Amino acid sequence: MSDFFFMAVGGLFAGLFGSVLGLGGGVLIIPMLTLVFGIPMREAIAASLVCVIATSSGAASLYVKRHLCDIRLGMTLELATTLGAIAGGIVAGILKPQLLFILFSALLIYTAWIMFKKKDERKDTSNSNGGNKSYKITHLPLGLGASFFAGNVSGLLGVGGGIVKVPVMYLLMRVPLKTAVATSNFMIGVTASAGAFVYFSRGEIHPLVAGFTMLGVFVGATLGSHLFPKIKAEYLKKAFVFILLYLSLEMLFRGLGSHFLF
Amino acid sequence: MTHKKEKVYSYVGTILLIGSFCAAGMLILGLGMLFFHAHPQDSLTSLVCPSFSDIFSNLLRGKPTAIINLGILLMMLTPFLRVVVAVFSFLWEKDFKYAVVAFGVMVILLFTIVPSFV
Repeated sequence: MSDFFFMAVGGLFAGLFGSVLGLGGGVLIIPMLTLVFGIPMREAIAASLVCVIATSSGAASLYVKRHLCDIRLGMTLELATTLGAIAGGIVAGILKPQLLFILFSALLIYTAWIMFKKKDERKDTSNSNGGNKSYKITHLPLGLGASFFAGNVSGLLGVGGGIVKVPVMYLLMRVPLKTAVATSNFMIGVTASAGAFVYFSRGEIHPLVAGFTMLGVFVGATLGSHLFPKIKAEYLKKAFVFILLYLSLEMLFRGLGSHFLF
Repeated sequence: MTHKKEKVYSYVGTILLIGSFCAAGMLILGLGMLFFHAHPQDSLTSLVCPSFSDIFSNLLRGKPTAIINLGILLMMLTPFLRVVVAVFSFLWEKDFKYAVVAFGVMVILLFTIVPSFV
């Protein structure tokens, strides 16, 4: 029983740091559940997907009401992300868990890299009135293809996939950064839910693991987005690059059947 | 094209808020019940990965885990609900192109939701 209490506390911190750093909780939740609590990889992915839905729904309801996100663009790209997530979820059921550990380790390195060179979204001066489309969306077919891939990553590894969606919208489709971040957040819930049902139908959602972690994450993320909406997290971000790299090594070693530090 | 005071935004935002807070409330209720009458073997071994029909039969027997399961399911269904709401809101606004897009997303989601419920 105490394990579950600590899962909730861990989830709370994952949600808090996630919302302050602009990370989905997933990249922190899965290492926590697998490395610390020894939950099987697929159950950890399933629980993480549920957590991702919770954070996204909480945050998206704010973004949507403030008209920051572009619902039309989001819906269009969701056609691709949901298909991608279902495919990813099915593939995750076929692959060996060790391989999932190794793939997750690669995702952590990519996340650390993005975080290392990330531009502060508040410094972006381009127009960002989500509802008033004063920007022109380019490369829609390519964007759909990339969104399918983003959904794939989400369904396969149990993360939101914002780390793929935001660059796709911002760099490829020329959506203002703020709108891209808000729209990505909006899409993450639907994407993760498509993936989560694949795991649900395989019976991989453990109610207590998912329930306790999700509750923690939900509270943490809600607190984070209300308490620190404008925190300058530059140093925290740099510190997190190292944490992510460490987690990546630990996941890699676990995938290879050994341990790195603990 | 300006979409200033669109209803879509406010409906979709509201459904997300209601769904996620109801789900969180059910979780707190279920986890609280479990905390206060925890039967060690009941709470840890009989829990693993139930199916949808199990959830309902357990709910009728008043099992805390069934409430937790239902809370998780409600959280998982919230994004689907908001897609359904978006379909109708786009229709209401006579924005048929995006009503079709949202309908497409709804159908894809149904393809993954329905098989896990039967």
